[in-house]
Amino acid sequence: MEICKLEHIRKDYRMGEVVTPLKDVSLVVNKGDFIAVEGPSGIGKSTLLYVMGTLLQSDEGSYTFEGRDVAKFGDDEKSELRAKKVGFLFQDSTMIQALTLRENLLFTQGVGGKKDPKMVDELLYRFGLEDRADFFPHQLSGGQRRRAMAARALIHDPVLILADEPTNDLDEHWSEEIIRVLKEQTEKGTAVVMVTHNSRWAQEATRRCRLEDGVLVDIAE
Amino acid sequence: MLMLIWKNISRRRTQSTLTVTITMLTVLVFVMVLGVFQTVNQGLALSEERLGADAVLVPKYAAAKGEDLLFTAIPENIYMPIEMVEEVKQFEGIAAMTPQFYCQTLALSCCEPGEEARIIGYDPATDFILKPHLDEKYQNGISPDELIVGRNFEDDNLVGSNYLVLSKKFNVVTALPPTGAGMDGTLFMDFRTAQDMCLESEVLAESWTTRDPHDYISVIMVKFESGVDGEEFAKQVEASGLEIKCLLTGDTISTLQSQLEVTMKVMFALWLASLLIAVLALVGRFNALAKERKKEIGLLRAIGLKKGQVFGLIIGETCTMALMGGVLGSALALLAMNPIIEMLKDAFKLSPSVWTSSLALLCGLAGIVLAAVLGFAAAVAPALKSASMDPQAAITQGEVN
Repeated sequence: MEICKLEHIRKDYRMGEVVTPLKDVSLVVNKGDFIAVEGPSGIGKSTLLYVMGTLLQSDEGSYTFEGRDVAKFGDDEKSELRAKKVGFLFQDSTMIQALTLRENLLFTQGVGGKKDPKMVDELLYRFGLEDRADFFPHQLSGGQRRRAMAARALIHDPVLILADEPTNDLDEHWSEEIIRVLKEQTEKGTAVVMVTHNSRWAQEATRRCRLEDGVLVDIAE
Repeated sequence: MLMLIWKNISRRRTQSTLTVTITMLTVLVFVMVLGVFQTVNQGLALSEERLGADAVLVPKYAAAKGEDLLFTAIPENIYMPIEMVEEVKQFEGIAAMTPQFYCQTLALSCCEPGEEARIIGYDPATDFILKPHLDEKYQNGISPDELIVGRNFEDDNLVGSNYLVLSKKFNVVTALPPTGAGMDGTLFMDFRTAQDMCLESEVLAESWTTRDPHDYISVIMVKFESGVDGEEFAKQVEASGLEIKCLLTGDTISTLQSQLEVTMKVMFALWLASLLIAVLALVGRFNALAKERKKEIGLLRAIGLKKGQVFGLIIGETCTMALMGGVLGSALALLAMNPIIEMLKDAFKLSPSVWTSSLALLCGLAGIVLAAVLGFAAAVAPALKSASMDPQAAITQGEVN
């Protein structure tokens, strides 16, 4: 069952000169997919995730989410879609500074219209953060923040998780754990699109693609 | 959302304290300026309404100024012959006139006023000053052992009790309503009784060894017939050649009002300058905060907060802090008002009794409203800017831009 579909997506950045990280990207993401997007740094992998997460509007092509044309969404509709259907795991470990870790998770869940403190506790436990629940973001290490971000991406039970280099700052153990959790999510029907330049973690995906010169190509098995 | 607003305020303590303090100081100054202005202005209006007299005729030699006579209760021992009453009756344009006799208490012992206070002997037969404020049973006069007190004495709950004045016991029968004028700090007794006191009191009697107080009065309060020009009446008094001069209450009030206006304009200008500084400081602070939290705001948008919610979050935070500052500033200003009015009392020749709880409430509310407007006005531009930020750019560029 299709979750989202990109067709001939083009995205330009105008920064003095025009830079086009996405020239002609097409991708269909189905329920339960675990897609790894590989490629060197600065090639446009994050841009692709931002377009898929409705944080960026493409300049050409069409993007549909659950069959609806995202280009026709107003800002509030896009916000609602992100709140309820999309889980982000950004490259940057940004969190709400005035809230504790537990409060960050509860708040994110609340924005998505859910209220499940039990799920918060389960995820904190799953990511080894139960004793850090009442810590503020600045009191967490880089790795702990990364795990917290992973928990936040799952906290509202999204249908699509967009993970940008999810294993950054993590040791071997926690990198494996994050990948394991993402895989488990796909088994429950959630689709995961993971950007990585680490082929070891990319191998865990059910489908591997490479972004080359603005075009997404499948990597042969 | 409310939880996030509160946590952002309470957990960014230094930032919040600074914002609350700036607003608090602005509101504090505003409420104090407003309170003083309202008090003095209302005091003048009340005085004009309740004084009753259009002119006060005093001995020509009297050094006392009109405002001292009318707006303070400082004893003024000035006297002129009682025959002056008959002379003044000859003037044109008088609707009513009544003589008064002044003497004073001394800074003495217990059960008496702690400081020197003005005693006025009034003539119930001709009086039109006190009469409008008195119950019917006292309108025809009070007995020699009875006393009427100004509003300032009412704080001591004197009505119904005995009160010693120059060692003589009086029964306080009633207190006058506040006038904002010297009447508020004055003790009123029967005309004859006041004259008798000058002979009965050892200390006062020293001044009356060669003359009889019963042959003297202190002032004559005059009410004009309608349409009479005060200036013309004063010229008539001067042309009469009598040893008296005319103090017009309207002139006195106008003089005080113009002095007040100048003072208030200066105070208002200073407050406007402080308001401008506060607005600039707050706009700067909120802009800096918005920049500092750019990534966080990008994150909030990414997890699904709508533009309106981000706007509401920032406005909610700033208005809450501004309101806290407003409440604190108003409360502090209201606490400080009584001492301030006491200090200004002599400068403006006004009674502090007109600082009422309703006026305090009005000024306090005005301060809180100002704080809310100030907070909103200073935060609206940064809030709009933050809410309309491109979330992706906010997340990736953070504070760089």
